[in-house]
Amino acid sequence: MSDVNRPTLGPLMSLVCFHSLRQGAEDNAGRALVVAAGRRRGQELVDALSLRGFSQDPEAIRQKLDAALGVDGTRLCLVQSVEAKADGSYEIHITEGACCAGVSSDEPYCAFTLGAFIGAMSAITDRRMLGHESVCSAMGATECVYQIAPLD
Amino acid sequence: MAMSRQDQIAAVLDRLASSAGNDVSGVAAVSMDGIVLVSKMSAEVNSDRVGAVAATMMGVTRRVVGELKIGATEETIIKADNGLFMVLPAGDQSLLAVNLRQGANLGLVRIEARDAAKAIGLVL
Repeated sequence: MSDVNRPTLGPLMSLVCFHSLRQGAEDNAGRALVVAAGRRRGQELVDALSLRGFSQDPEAIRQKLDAALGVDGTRLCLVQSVEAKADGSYEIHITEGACCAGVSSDEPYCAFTLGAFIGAMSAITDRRMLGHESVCSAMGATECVYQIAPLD
Repeated sequence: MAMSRQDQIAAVLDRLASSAGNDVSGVAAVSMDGIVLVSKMSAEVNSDRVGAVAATMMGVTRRVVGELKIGATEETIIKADNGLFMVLPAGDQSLLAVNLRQGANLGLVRIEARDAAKAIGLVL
């Protein structure tokens, strides 16, 4: 994807199209499809950045992911913090996530973005990870918080 | 020492594979988001991909069931000319994916698979 062959429009597109794609996929095939796509993106990102086994330092991970996904990257979201916990899990805080932009929901709404962080953290740590969203800006919060934990 | 959840699920999958004999060529427990919890698939199968596909199959099936208003999803089965692939809900949080060989005793495997899915649901 490094050569997007869009000399006028460049590599970015509107959230309107992103949301249409996500909602259409989810309406017809369920959330797993979107999460899986996010996981793949996260894993590919880690590979592209040569981050497999890169570091267990949460701030170093945050900086790398924010550079790739934030305002100077693909603009999926701003990575505000990555916190490592004693049990091997990670708590990740993001703002301005693409999944939730302009969305109001009664339940956590991130799917692609959550998947991207599950995939990225799995690849960085080389551990199989599960994830869920404990706080979501689509529900009125100021940020989205992902809990990503290794399987047992 | 208490068994981990992964070990407990692995034991359930081993029991299923054992009781189904040669009919089953692979089994996996998968999260609702398509993440493989435990896989007993053969080495040539990309279990991560199968997990994502199994969860998507369940998602599609649930939408079909919902659109047609035919109740709760119990299982979804794909039949090919050289085998079958079955996916069942395993509690609220996970799925059981079963790969069956051609000519498998589907009736027997379905019974065993439902028991295994129930057991996995209790672990998670």
